[in-house]
Amino acid sequence: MKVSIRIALTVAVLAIAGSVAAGAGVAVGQAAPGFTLTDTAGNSVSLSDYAGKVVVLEWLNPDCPYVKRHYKAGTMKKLATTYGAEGVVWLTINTTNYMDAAANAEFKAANDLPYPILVDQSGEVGHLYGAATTPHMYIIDGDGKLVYIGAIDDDPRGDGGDGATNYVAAALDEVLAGNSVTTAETKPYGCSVKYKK
Amino acid sequence: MDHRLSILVALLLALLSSASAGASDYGDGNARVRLVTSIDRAEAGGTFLLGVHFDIRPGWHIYWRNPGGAGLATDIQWRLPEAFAAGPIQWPLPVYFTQSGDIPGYGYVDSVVLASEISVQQDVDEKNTVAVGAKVSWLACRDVCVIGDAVLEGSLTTLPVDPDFASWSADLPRPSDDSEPPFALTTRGGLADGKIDLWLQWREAPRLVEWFPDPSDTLKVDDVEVRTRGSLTRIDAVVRAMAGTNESPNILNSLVVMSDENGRRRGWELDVDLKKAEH
Repeated sequence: MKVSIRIALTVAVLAIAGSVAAGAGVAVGQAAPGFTLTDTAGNSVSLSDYAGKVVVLEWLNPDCPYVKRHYKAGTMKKLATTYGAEGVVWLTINTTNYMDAAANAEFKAANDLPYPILVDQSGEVGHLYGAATTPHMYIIDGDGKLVYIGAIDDDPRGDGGDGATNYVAAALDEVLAGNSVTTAETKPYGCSVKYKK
Repeated sequence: MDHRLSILVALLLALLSSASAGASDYGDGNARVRLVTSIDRAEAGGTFLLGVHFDIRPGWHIYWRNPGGAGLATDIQWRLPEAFAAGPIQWPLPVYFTQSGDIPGYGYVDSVVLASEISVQQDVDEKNTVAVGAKVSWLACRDVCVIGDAVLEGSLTTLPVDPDFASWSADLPRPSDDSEPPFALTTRGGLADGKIDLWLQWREAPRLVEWFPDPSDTLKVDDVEVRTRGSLTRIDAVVRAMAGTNESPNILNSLVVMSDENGRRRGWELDVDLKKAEH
């Protein structure tokens, strides 16, 4: 009897202690939360500046080998240029705690990037979106709704060749055609975002 | 300089230089890798274990089959004679670590052997069952991450026969159909509820309980919390089908690991039914 009472009490304590909040970050189908950050030239950039447009958010850390591989291959730049011609806005966000505007400006210049890098050293926007990896990709449609969250492609080791699927390109094609996104969420791969401690 | 002092300085320099030489041995991938086997001669119709032994640079980790919230699973592609067929990678019990931003990570520190059971065909020419190899790729992280890769080749006749394979096998997780796990499991919630809570009533109070969800292309598992009081463990997690998933998964495969009073860890595969759980 004593034992069963103890178990019942433990269960009650655990039931209270076990209540947890919902997951941080955002989900597909939700309205993309607004934010304002500063780019490498010191300009203030807000998501609301691009209301009505399709926007891609890319989480960046130039020190991450997966990011390095994609930049060496020109993956992001090619996508931004190709879809930029169709009105898609590409915003790259760097939440790496030790990379300031100057460090990001150097990376942007070295890679001749056609899109801004927004500096998020505090991690505020990274946490707001639940960015976990670099790269971690988000697509927002013209109605301001999140329509894709996840990996850049299905080829984390970079050995898939022509058989690899770029999820962001596939999703953008569908969004621009006015269709819903078939693969709307994937598990992102890469280095963990180096958040400020 | 005093003679004794100069000897001391020389000794210190020698020690420092050997320490740095040892550290650099880990290479760019921050892990030393080598092939290990459980036999030195393949027998027709038999099986053996072929593994990759990782020595991981102190302070660094590599990843389990589910890396957690970030990272990438360690990958081994066996390169074997036609007469050999490799089973799936067998993963020893991972450890839990927190990455920056409280992102959970599952993996290995110090050293680990990832191995597969190799089946040998009945009708084989023994000359053709000697050369073995593996293409290995891993992500090693500490404050930063680096990719390591290696192509390993060897011959069964000369590879080190690892005497630890017996204890290695004993420490693998028990299968989910283990007839007598030392706990009774009650599952509540499910996909319809957006969360699960697992209750494990242990026969003997564990010192520590950990829970590791398997990787999934269709299921997202977040906010895992494990609490143990006495002989009762409660595991909470937020679960949902990935957006755009056509068929919601019915089962969440996972691994529960218990440490006893002596610090010995034992693990059980745990298949959580996401459709039939109690509400």
